[in-house]
Amino acid sequence: MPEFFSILRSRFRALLKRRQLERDLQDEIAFHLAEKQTELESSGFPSDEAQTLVRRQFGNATLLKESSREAWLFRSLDNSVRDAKYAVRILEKAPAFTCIAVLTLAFGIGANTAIFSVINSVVLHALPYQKPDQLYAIREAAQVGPQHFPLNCVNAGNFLLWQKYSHSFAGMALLEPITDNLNLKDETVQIHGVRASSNLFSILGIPLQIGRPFTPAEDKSGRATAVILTNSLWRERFHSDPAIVGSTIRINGFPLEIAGVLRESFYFPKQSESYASPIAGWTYPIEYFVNLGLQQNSETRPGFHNLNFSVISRLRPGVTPKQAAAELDPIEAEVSKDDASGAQLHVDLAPLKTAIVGRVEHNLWILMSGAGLVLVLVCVNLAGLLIAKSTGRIHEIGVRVALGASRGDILRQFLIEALLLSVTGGVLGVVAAYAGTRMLTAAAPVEIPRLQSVTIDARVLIFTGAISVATAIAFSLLPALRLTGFRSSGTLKTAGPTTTPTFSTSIIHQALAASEIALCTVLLICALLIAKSLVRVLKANEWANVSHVIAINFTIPASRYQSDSQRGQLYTRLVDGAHNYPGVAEAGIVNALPFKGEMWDDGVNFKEARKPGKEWPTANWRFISPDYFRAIGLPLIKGRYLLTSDYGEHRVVISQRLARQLPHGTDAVGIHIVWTPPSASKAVLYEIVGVVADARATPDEEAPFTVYVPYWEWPPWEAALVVQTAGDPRSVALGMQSLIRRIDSQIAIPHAETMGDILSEAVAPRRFVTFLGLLFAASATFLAGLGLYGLISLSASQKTREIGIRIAVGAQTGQIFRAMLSQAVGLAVVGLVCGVAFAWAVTRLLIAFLYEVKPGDPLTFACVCAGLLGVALVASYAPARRAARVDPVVALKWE
Amino acid sequence: MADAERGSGELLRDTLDMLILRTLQRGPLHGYAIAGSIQQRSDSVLRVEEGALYPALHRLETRGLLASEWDVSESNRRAKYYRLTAAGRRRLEKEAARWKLVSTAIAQVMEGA
Repeated sequence: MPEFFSILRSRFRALLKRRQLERDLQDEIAFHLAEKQTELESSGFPSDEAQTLVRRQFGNATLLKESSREAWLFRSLDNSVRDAKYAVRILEKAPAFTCIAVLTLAFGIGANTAIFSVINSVVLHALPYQKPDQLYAIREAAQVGPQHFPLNCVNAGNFLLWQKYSHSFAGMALLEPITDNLNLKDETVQIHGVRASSNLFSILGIPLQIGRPFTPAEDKSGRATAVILTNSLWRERFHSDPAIVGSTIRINGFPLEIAGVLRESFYFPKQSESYASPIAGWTYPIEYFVNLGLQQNSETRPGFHNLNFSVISRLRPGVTPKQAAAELDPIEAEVSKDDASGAQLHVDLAPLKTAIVGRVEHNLWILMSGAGLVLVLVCVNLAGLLIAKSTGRIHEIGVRVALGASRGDILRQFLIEALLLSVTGGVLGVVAAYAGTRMLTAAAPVEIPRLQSVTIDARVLIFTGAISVATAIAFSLLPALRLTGFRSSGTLKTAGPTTTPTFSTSIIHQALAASEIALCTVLLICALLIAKSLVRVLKANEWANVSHVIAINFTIPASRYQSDSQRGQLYTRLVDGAHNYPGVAEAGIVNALPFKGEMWDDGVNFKEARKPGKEWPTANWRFISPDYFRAIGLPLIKGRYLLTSDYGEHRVVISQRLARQLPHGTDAVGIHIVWTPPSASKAVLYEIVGVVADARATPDEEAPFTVYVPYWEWPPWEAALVVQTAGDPRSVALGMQSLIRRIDSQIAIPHAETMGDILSEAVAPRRFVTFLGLLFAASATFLAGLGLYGLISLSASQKTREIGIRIAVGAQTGQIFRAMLSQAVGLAVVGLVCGVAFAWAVTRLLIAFLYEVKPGDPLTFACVCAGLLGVALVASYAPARRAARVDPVVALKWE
Repeated sequence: MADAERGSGELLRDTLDMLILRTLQRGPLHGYAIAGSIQQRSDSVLRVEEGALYPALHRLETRGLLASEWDVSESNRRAKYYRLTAAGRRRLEKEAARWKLVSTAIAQVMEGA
């Protein structure tokens, strides 16, 4: 056993001191020869005879060196190193090919690495909590007759019942996202946070850095009394002062105690990532936690209403989510029995990670497939180029085989050349991917959850290494196998430019080129379908793509506006002040803007349209000032807008889609809606006076049913001021911000955005995927064109003799030219046919992502076919012309 | 030259190793001297071919049974001297014991009537 280690040690030492050992061996043999010669000479042999004798007795010195080397070398490693050095020389001699190969490999491998690193951090990594696979989000869904209201947030009262009567859970926590005004010494800032149960952090298993968690008493206290800060907020606003614990800060004017501070490493999904209506472009990092402080009775009444909360729970070990859900459903059934709406509630458990990243996972895998296809294309391209190059190396291979190289040796040579290329490309690709993901995290053109934790870690590097090696094998195997099939004697005798390739070579190369076109077709069609969807989405929401309508969101500090009338007065002053401001054409307020997601949903109860068995639709409720519609640009369909004179008269306006829900022929104007405002004790009858156009909550889904209620019926706690400007929007925005501050200096003002900005943010993820898709498709087209160019060039150069003969016997250059072009077109057609068939199947997978575009859209398919035919013509133009210009004299003399 | 040399060329590798180790037991030597010593002590019956000697020496060195260093020879030339390591000494003992056992057994078989 110790011998084994000695051997290893010697061999490693030999690796490093190779040259030294060679010299030593040389010297040792020389010494021996010299001694021998001296001995012979002293026995009477003349000098030159002695030399010859010595040499002869010594035998083959080279062989001796070989067998000595056997002792100290790793045989195969030695061979591979030699092959690598040779490969470097070969690659240096063909700089154009090497450059193209390395760059295309870098692009292909880099793209895959970048996307995989995102998938790795976002989808594959476990959540940074204790035993994260036990964590589940609980959501509620309701069945009202035949209508199914899908997974949504939960009711706090239902939650309390689950907590009381279930045994499957180690703990469950209630959460609600909130936005508040933080009153600092010299300014007020808006911060985003979460109302949370006291057991949230113990469920997640993450202790605080300093201070204490919330107490169970604080869960039911009815008001916000304590906060826990995130580490970043503590650093930014409170200078990391540890004495802050126990002190008081003011939020919305109310005093709250700072109970504790979280660790820097603590991660919590952004507001709206894990909650029921995840909307891209409207996500805020969480900065603080407030105690739950459920208001008894108003918030804790169970039933099918006030579905505002999310739940994070931890199952007991050994309990499956199905079992847990089965335990909760009877509770839900009881609640449903008591609820007046007649809805049947049930729960659904989803793993927490899926709840957070689920919606982007699908898109990421689509992108990954696109990148994968591009890499396959790169391999096919390189295989074709290698085949083209290899016909020039037949001579070299023949010599090696004659000298005793086995097929394995030749294959190893090719593999090492390919590995050198793909590893270089891989390294460049990793660097590019790193830069790319850094840019992505910084610029964040699209909201991907957990994006801030994207890095290139060991798993990603292993992935890169694996695909580099796989790529190398893929594109070198075919050319190498084909090349080593040649008989050695044959190649040596007939080597030279007049060698025409065998039938099989041509077919393989052509097949490769055709498959490139096929893959390219698929990528192009998919990318164009996605792009078309983007255009359609933008068109459908064109009304919002304006820069002269601006919106400013703000939250009212609750401490000073406890009563409805106080808030109502604030809004009135605001709207009046805005109207009087120069440069303002129209002004209004609304509690939630379009394209920010569905919010404030509640059932709509039409008094006159209540038939037995007819279910109430759920609508988004909006609280507005009368001029809101004019300010934002929603046209009137029927009836009239709201007026200030409607004050006290209980009137509402509904959206067009909601109006269509009424029985056919019923005019919505004049119908009444029964509704209980949050601060009222009994239901109120509201008259519908008008129907307005729809406004979407997400750019690519149908607009929700909407009921517009004047703000004085129930003034919301947060609103957006919407202003249509006549002059420069920027100066008006500044004016509006100072107006708000003048009305109440304790309101924190975030920046103003135009409606165009809002739409753009909402469309951002779709735009991002479209951009990447087009990028992949464009690079695929380039690669396919390159491949075709290479093929036609090779074909032309190999047929030089044949062309020379044809021209000599009278063929026109035009005929030759057309013949070469038609070869290219023929290949392209074959590729297109396969590609179209493949695409037909693949585009089905994209259906979820497309908008108003059929997966088999004929126009797109036709355009791609025509386009690729064009590319084929362009790519083969130059080589075909060169072929047609062949001088028959030169061609025929060329031996 | 013929018979004796052909015989020495057929020495088994292990036996050669053992002879080399034994030769070096008396002190460090260079390769030429090792070959000379073996030839001399066997009264020229065993003549080690250079083609077998040096590979054997390098093999033994790789395995850690010998150590080498360069020095100046008696003939005032630079030469590589080999010496036994502790492991080499142990191997020699083992091989010598085995050889004794085997050769005694063979002798018994051959001498028996």
